[in-house]
Amino acid sequence: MNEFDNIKKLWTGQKQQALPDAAFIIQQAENMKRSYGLRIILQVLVLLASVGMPVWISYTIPFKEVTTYIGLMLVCCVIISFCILRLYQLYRLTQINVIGSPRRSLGQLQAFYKLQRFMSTTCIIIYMLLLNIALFLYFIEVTRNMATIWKIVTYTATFTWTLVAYFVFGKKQARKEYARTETIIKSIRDNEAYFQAQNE
Amino acid sequence: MHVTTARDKQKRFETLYTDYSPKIHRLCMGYTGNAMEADDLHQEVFIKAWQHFDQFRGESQLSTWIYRIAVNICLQYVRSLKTKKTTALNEQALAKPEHSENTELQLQQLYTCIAGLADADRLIITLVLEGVSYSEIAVIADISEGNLRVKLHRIKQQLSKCYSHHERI
Repeated sequence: MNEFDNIKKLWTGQKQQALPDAAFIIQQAENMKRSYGLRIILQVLVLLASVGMPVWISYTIPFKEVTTYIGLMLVCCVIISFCILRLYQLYRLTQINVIGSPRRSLGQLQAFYKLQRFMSTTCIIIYMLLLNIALFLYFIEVTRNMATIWKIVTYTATFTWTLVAYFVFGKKQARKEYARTETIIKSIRDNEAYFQAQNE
Repeated sequence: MHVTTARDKQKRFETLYTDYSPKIHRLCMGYTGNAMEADDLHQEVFIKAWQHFDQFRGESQLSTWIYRIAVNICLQYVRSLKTKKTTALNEQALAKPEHSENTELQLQQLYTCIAGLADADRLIITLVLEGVSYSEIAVIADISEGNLRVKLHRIKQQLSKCYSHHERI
């Protein structure tokens, strides 16, 4: 294979480009690690801020009905639970490392995909259901002195918003997330199949 | 290999980097055909290597370990290209003439031919061109050595045919 020898010679004779030194790479890696940590901290802060609002309301406004407090507490619990699950999902994503064999990566990706689907189907439905129950409980007292028309407006606006958030934004985001994972899984599977075909 | 101290870890990593940095960069060039993207992939490979360096337990050769990281990252790059539906690799800008004009042209032809191969074939051929042993490539690609040899024969023919065709033009 004379032509191939020429190719090999050409390949190994490539002029080496100036590459950064190891210290620079280490610095970059450490910066990435720090920024990942900051992202987690930011998410936790957003979570605390979201939970802070209902907590603040329950402390500053002297509500009379127990249902209002239950509603506010439920809002907090639902948000915290969902954020914990999202953080767990992020953690699982970072656990898919590139140092293993393709087969191992595929296994990890498939497990992640399963979790992703569970999150955006079962978990999101439970989340929306509990959030709507919580808001309904909260609104019992808040809307008590409102005129019927305003009661209807308040409930309709709130529940329409949650439905739009679920069916429009949520579904769109989930589709995007699925597509990304599916493409990677398909690509690894294609490669596996490609290699396997040669064995048969 | 057990990384005991931070200093020891850094020293070992520096040795790995010195030994494999140019090789990994060439491998990335084989995948991207583009020096800037190869720079990014090369950096990503060694960042990942540093992040996972403590996990290397010497179950395989260090070269196998680093090549596997490189191959996985390069394959990920190809997948992301497919996801983004950007231009095909062989249509990407390859121009960066730094070498002598003729050698540079030949290299660009070679990159174009490599880019025309299937993802898995590209993986194998770039490692072969780097002089990695067949047994090591088999471990990196997670296939049997016999399977590799069969494939390699065909890939070499395909690449040689493409390259000589471009040279004639």
